[in-house]
Amino acid sequence: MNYPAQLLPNRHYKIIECDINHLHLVRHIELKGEDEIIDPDTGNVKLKYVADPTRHIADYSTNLLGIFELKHIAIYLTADGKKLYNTYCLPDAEVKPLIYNTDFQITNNRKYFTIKIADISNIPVPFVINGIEKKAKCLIEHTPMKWNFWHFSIRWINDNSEYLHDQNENLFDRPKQGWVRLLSTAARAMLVHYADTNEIDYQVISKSCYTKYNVNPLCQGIYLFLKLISEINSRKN
Amino acid sequence: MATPAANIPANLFPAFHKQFFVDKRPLPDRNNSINSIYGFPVMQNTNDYFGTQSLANSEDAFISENDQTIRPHTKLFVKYFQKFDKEYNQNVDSLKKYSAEWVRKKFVSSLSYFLTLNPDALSIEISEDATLFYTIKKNNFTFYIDQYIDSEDNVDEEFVLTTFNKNEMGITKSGNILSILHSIRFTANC
Repeated sequence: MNYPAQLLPNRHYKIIECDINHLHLVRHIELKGEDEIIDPDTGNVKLKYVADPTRHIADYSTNLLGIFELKHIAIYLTADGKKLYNTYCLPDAEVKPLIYNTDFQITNNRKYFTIKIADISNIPVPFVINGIEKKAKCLIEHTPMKWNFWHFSIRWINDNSEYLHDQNENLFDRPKQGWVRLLSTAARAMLVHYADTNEIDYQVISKSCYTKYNVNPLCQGIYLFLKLISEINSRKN
Repeated sequence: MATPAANIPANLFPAFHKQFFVDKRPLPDRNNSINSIYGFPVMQNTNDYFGTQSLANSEDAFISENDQTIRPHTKLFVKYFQKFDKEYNQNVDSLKKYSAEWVRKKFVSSLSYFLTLNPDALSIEISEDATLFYTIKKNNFTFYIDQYIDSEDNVDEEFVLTTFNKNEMGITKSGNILSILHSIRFTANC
């Protein structure tokens, strides 16, 4: 079984910084036994499948739905595959395709939920600490990994520009206090609130958002030619 | 006679089973009121598991010996207690620092307050952070509440409440059960 090449970083790719509010993020769920994903009373996805424990949501892994399709949530990395491929990389890194059984396998036991980016991206997360109102916000950041260019991180930042995921691990331990406790609790409420397991009509990101240049072959040729001329000129100088 | 106690483990809550005052009183809104019984747990005992004055004094403790039905809140109490119990048994590892009795006491106390809100929906989960995570829906609002059950020293910051008005995120704050309840009542106008 071949690894889907469209998931790998590519020398033509760049970090996605354009407006992606109309798109969705997707994350897989590993069901625990015969459990239901949805709480029957509230209709929400259960906390344990979304955001538990809070230390895991400070830097929350998701995938941009589109070229990363729903069927791709079935891919999971083996222990060896994780060592080699489960690391951040540049968007244009040259990555050797993963090998079935050695680096990755397929499971049919996974479910998923989606979150509309517009619902959480840059949304203020107000909280009160010591009687003073503070505002954090949720950020959606493109964080390509060797196995998956479409890997995105949901992160939270407070009004002192401190990232939740940069805080000392022990601040997430008990007794959890201060802004870390409030923001991490708010963050997981936010994820639970917007997590959706229904089928959705999702859009695919525009090519110009993730490629360095227009990949029309003619344009690409002109771009490379001009780049070559420019490099030759710079060497002459 | 159906009572909540029948559904609450006697080995964990002996006081709940043994110390129960009952009194025959008319129920103003029921046709079969003459045969109804008013019951409430003993409040003086520190081991009571309703644990709150408000519930013990409310109509929620009414039970009927005639039709075997339980008042709505009491039914809900039993339902959520059973749900909690299942949740507890599945997540006992994340709560190993605390005794089962302590966790259940915390839950029962909170639940009895939350039921006074007449929520449209309520759920309970035990998180891996060793918190009790409640979701309460009421009048287009959704309230997410994390209860940190560390110790009695921390009761003023025991709960963290996050509010959503439909899809608009409100403020997150911490507080004790009464301040959280007040916030919910004020926000949802209930």
